[in-house]
Amino acid sequence: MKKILVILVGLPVVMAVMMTGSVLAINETIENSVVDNCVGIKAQIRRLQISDANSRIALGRSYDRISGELMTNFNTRAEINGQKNEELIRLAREFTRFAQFFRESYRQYDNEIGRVLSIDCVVRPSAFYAGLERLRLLRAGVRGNSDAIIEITNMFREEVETAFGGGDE
Amino acid sequence: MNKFWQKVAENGKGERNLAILGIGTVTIAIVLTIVNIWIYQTDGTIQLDLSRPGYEPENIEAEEERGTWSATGDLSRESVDEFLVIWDAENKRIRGDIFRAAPLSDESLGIRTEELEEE
Repeated sequence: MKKILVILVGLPVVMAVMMTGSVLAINETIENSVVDNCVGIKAQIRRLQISDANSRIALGRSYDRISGELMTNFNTRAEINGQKNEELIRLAREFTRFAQFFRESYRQYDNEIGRVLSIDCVVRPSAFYAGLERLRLLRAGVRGNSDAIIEITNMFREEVETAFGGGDE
Repeated sequence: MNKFWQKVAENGKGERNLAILGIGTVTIAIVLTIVNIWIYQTDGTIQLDLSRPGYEPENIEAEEERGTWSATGDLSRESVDEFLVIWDAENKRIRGDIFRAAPLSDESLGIRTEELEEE
């Protein structure tokens, strides 16, 4: 499970890195479209960057609370009550690890947005479109990390219900 | 500028030391500012800074009261259920269509990928 998660998350990032510096051979239609809509495309990307920044902060806050308060408190209470659960402790560690992956992948994604926005898409449409492709991969990496985190929280909840009998009967 | 240094040399150590102090202070301040800005950009803090020009929160939501669950207490069915209610509420916040691919698609950005057929 861990290997699958790492591959799913890592693959888009590796592909994006490999594409760094490359210029795609784009067809004339795409090139003309990028040149014609340069200002509009950049404006949309800027709006997306702001929206993503808000999402990043909200998610970061929730991740900190889930890890630092809820998971830690549950595991601590379990240990105090003599019901230490190794699986829950392992999942808490995994959560922290993937939260760090998320932060790092977002940082790379946001840096790439800045780099793409600095390209003059009228003068260098191919380079701009190549940057856009890298951006898509990096965004997929961020999404992959957030999906992995959701999966871990599902597993944590399931284990709490199984081991401690909570939830609906 | 040359007259200044001439005067400094003529008047001896006091003014020379003052000049060195001034230049040294400004130099250290510039170096530390550069280091601070570099750290601010590389460690990811800049991405969390919504006070940057143009970065205003899209929605100012009222901060909902988020329940707490203490690290001390029993693990009765009741307390575990209480935990799960708080857990589910917090987990709801991390789900949804976050960082999906659509906003960066060619279609969303208005990039044509095929020539339009002429009628």
